[in-house]
Amino acid sequence: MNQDSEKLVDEMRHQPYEPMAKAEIWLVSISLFTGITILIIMALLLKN
Amino acid sequence: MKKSPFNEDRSAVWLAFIFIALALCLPLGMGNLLGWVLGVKVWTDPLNALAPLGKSFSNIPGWVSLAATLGFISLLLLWERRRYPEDKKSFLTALLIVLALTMLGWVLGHAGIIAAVPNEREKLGLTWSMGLTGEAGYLAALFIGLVIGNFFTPFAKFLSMAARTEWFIKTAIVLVGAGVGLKALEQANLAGTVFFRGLAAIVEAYLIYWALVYLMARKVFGFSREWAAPLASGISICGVSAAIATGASIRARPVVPIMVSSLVVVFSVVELLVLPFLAHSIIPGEPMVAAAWMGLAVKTDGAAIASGAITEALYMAQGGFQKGWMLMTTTTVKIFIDLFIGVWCFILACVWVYGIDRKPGDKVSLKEVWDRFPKFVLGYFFAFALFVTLGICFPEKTNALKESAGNLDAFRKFFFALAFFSIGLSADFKRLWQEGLGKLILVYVVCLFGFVIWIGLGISWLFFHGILPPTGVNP
Repeated sequence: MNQDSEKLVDEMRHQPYEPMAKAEIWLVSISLFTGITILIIMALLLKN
Repeated sequence: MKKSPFNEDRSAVWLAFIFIALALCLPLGMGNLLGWVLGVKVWTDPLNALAPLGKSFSNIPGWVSLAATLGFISLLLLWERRRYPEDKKSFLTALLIVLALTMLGWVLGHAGIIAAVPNEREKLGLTWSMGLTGEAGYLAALFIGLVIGNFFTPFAKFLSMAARTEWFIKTAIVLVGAGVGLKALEQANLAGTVFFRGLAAIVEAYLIYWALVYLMARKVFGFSREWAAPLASGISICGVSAAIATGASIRARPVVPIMVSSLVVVFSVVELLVLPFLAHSIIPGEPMVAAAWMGLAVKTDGAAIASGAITEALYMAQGGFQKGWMLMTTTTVKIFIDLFIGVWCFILACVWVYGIDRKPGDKVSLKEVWDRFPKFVLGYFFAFALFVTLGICFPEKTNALKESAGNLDAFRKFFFALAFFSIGLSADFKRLWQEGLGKLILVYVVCLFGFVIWIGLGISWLFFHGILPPTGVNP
């Protein structure tokens, strides 16, 4: 196996902890907030 | 003259647009220039597996179509590599072998015993099949690659010069844009009730499922970003295309999304065999909820549509409903989800370029953003916009556009299969699979059975309960 492959297998075995970056936290938070809000609005629109 | 390094990203866009330009000759009235492309059907007799896709080419034997497809792709790829310094004769030989072995895997994966879903068995005269759909062709190509990579190492090394995973993946993704554009047009004419509710599916898949799976993969299972993003797309959006497109957008190593995709294909069989019957037993009076649920929960297109067909058969036996409504609901929900793969990849590519890959304090210039931005994502959008625009401006050409998109789809699938074969060829896949399989399966099972299917059921209930398909004989 070449070095890249070895590295990938090693990473898979001992995934180094990679803390979540600000951009990731924003992405996940905005997605969830927007998604839940839109679904509530759509459900209310359907009820009325 | 200094030779510039081969840019797979840009070359993939060019390649895809050569296919698109040729396909568009049909609606422009210049003839079906790609109608000879090989279409592989689910088969029980191998002699019936191969046939050209174009109706006007139906008199051509399957093997001629096969030779034309492989010959055309090899010439195009060779042309694209014309300025790259390498032994062209060796490259062409390796390429032809790669194409032929991938096609062998693709055809074997369509064997009825492997690919036929339960509602196809009767037609094919089968009593049992694995139900993996035609997408099993990807796994078969991967398997052949693995066998060569592990047992015929010098041969694998020779083939590797032509097994360019990223090149194949990116070309396929641009081609996805054309097909999705046309699907978008078709859905625009749907009944308003289904259309509005279909929008809920997009919100659910991208904004809720993706975020939750990503969070679980990162925080609970400790996956790195490179693994978590394709995993989230594979579990929450649409299996193979989404995982691969996401991986390429965030510049993950190709082996990562390919591993995720393999898992998605295998798990979609479990969903296909379990969910329609589960739906019928727990919500017997809600056929449309069940149909929408299939579109939301089953993760590959083929398996989702087959689940919709099985669900329809189960409910029709009890309720005397008109045929087609439940299947249309499943298909609409699934297609709505597919439509936004490109938008999501664009968002992820921007987040990665601006927010994650950028070092603290760095100012990223627009030129740098352009250089780092995956061009195939733009190619995808351009193909999407082109087909939508043509469909809107020339509604009388819709059928010709559909046929063109069908031809492009045959090339798209084959390029994905080439990517699977190429990954299998690298010997690391087997070890990687052994190392990572348990953990990947755990994330998949926990997310899918822990919340993806249950949120899907809840939201399908919220938006579809109380709606029944018309009863009686179809008009």
